[in-house]
Amino acid sequence: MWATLITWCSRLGFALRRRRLDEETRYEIDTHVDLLVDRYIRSGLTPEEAYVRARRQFGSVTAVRQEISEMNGIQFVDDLRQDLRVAVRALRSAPLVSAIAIVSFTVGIGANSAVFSIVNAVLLKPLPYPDPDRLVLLGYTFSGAAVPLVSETKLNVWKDQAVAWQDIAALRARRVAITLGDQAEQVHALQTNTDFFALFGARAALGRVFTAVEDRPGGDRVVLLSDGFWKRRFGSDPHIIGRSLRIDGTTATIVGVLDGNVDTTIFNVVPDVWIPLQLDPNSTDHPPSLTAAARLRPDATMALAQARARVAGREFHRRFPQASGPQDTFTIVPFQDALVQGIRPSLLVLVGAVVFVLLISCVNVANLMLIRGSVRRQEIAIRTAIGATRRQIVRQLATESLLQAFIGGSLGLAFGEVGVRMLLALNPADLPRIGPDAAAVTIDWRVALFTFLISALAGLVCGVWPAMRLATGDQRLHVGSDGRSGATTRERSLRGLLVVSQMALALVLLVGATLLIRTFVSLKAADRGYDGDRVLTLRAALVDGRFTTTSSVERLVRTTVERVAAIPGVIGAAATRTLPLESDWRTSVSIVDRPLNEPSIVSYRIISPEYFDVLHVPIVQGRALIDGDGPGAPPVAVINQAMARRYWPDGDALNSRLIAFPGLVPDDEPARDIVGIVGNVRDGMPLDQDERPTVYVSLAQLRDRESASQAPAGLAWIIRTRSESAALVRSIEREIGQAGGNSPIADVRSMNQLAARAIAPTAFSMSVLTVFGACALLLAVTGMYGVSAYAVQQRTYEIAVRLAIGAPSHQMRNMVLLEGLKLASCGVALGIPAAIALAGTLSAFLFGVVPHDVPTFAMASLVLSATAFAAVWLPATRASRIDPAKILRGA
Amino acid sequence: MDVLQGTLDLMVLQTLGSMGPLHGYGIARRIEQISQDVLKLNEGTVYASLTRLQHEGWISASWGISENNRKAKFYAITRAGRRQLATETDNWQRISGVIARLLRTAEQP
Repeated sequence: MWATLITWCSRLGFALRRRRLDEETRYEIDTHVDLLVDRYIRSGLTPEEAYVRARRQFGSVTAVRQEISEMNGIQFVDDLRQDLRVAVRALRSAPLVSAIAIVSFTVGIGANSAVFSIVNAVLLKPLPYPDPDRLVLLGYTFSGAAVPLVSETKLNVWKDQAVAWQDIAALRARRVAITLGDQAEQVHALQTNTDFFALFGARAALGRVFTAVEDRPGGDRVVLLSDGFWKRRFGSDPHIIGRSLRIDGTTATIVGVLDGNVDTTIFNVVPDVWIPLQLDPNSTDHPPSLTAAARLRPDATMALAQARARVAGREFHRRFPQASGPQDTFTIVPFQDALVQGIRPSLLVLVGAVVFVLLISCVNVANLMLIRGSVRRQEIAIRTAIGATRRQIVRQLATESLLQAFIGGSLGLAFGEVGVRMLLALNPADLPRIGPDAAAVTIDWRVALFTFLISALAGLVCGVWPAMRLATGDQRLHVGSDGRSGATTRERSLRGLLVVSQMALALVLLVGATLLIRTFVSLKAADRGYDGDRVLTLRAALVDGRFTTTSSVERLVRTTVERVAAIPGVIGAAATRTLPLESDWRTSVSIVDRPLNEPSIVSYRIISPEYFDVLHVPIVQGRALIDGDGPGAPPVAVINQAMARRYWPDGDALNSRLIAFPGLVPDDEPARDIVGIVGNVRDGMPLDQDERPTVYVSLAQLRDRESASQAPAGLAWIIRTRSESAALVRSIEREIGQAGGNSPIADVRSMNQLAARAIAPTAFSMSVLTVFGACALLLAVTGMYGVSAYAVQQRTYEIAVRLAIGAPSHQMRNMVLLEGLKLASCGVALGIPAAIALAGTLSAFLFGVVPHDVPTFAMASLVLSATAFAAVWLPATRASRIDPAKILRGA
Repeated sequence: MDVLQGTLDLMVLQTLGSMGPLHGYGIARRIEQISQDVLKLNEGTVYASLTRLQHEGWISASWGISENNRKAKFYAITRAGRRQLATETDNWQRISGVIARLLRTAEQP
């Protein structure tokens, strides 16, 4: 082993000094011959005779020098250098063909490395935390649905049952109002326990993180600043520790500044401040409001942890029999899996599509190589004649395509990177783990290696196979050929086959892209059940402790609605806890006097009475919520049509009463009279085919306890206006802020912006697939053009003869056109079944269009055929313009 | 009589082993002198042999001035070369002994 290594190193030494060694050999040999000549002259020969004698005695000077030079070099390196030199020359001698090949590779490989860089950032890169493989996300199942959250009660059980896991981190993102001097600002806060910092390796750059004592209920009010917030609001003041600021009206001491590298983007939050969770070990709070993660103990396997999780689930059911069903259980999911679960399918679609692009570009290059090859038959034949082996020829041709692939690959890497950044800048598509401004999508060693490997693979596939075909057979046939009559029927049909497969692949991509475009259009055009034009939304924090009772919130909402409605240009305003299309709460419901068989998870929205009016949601039956539905009045609820249809198929919903959160809250929710049915609002996941059953209750009819627990989330406002002027927006913000006692405003967005954000992932898939479809079309067209142009060139003589004996020129044109169309229609015929087979995989991403949508298929086929027609038009016209006299005389 | 490649390498190694550092011309002359016109040697092959031996690490090369005041590359046997020479000499003697015996028995009817 060592010996081999040493030998190789010394060989490398010789190879590196080779040029100098060659010179030295030359000197030695010359001296040697000179000395021999001298010796013979001294022995009496004439200089001529002496020279001849010396040369004979020495043997062939060139042969020896060659032999030594080769010995000093490394065969493989030499061959490569030689092949590369020839390859560069070959590429230069056919710049157009080489350029097309390189562009094909650039498109194919670039698209792949771009998609891979996203896949790399989202799926492959290890999480930036210590021991990422042992991180797990805690959750539970509820009526069969997996919930990736825990409640305070559940978290306490998780902690008590911690035999297979340690460092249980819990966190809750919220908005808080920070008051510094007289300036209030609404910022993102992350409430975490102490374990969080250990679990995620988060360290304080200044000061310290929370202590266990501070994390207990009633612990000191302390706050940690994020690096960004510290820089922005405190100008990186190093003496910040120990100062205090007001959070939601209470004073808290700054104990530290967190390291800027703490990555919380995976929780979809970039917090400005961190506050202790101060979880009560005797909490009876059941709503799932916490994200919780833990680290498996070093000796625990995933299976063991899952088994222990089930035990914990049973323990929870024993402690709180009301709060979970017998089938509900605790779950543990590897952290990385949990993060990307949702996005994986759509990334896989992109990966599938991009492989098609690569295939098409490879077919393109292989085809070009075949075409070029038949022109180069003569060259290859001559090389063979002067002693090149078949292997050498294949190696030479493969080097050429590899060279093209690597040039294309490098260009593709650069363009792909730029492209993916532009795409993500336009639309981050809610991809997890890509960081702010998609900063995590970069060219790292994985992306570089991947690009290198697919370049090598593509280069080899496109080079070796055509080369093998070219180097086979009797080369003597081609020595004297002019390279124009060389194409055999078999070769022509092979090239035809390649074009057909390209067309088929392109059709599949076109169908996919069209389906997603149609989905996007239907999503945009879909009747969402409300009118979002000129509707503004914003969030307002409830700054001080005044708004923790239902009546105080009700008074605030009523005065604010009046003040905002009084602004000229405002039509109406409504308050809600959750904005449509942004978030909602889920709950189970029970119906009084009627047990439900099926699980009953519904959306639960807490609104002010103006909500339906402002959003133009129609009242279908009964009445809307009114101001009279206040704290003292009988509790009521309004449901949507989907809910009415699902649970009251006989249409008697209005006479029923329902209970939300049955068993989940300590003091039981009141039974609410259903007083009205409103139209369905598509305010959940945009791709949902069915409207979600929804219950609406009034902000004024919550129990005080609920109002208090929701106070930190603040209120969201929905305002319908007559115009979208900035001045109007400013005065609305001012009015709402003042009404809430200087409450900070955040997230000012129009309803239509919310809608656009909701369909962003679809828009992203659509734009990527459309780009791929366009690339595929372009590549296929290039392939089609190449084959057809080459065919015309090959048949120039034949066409000239036909024209000379009286064939009309348009007949020649039609002949070429027809041939092209034949290929295109074969491609379409092959592509349609393939597309039908693959369109099914898209069905989860479609909305308003079925996977086997006939117009889509017709449209894609038409576009492909039309483009193919355009591609053969030029060669066809050329065929009709051939001047027989010139060609025949020239021949 | 032509010289086999492996044999030439051994001859060159032996020459350097017994004579000390020499340049290519000197090695050729020494072999000529020893073989007394029995062997016909293309002297160019000596240089190929020298390159091979260098690659194996059995000899080393350095520039010096020859007896007639020319710049010349001198080759010297290395310690590894001496070891190799011993092994090879051993082998050679054993094989030539075997072959000699073989040939003797073949001559007897």
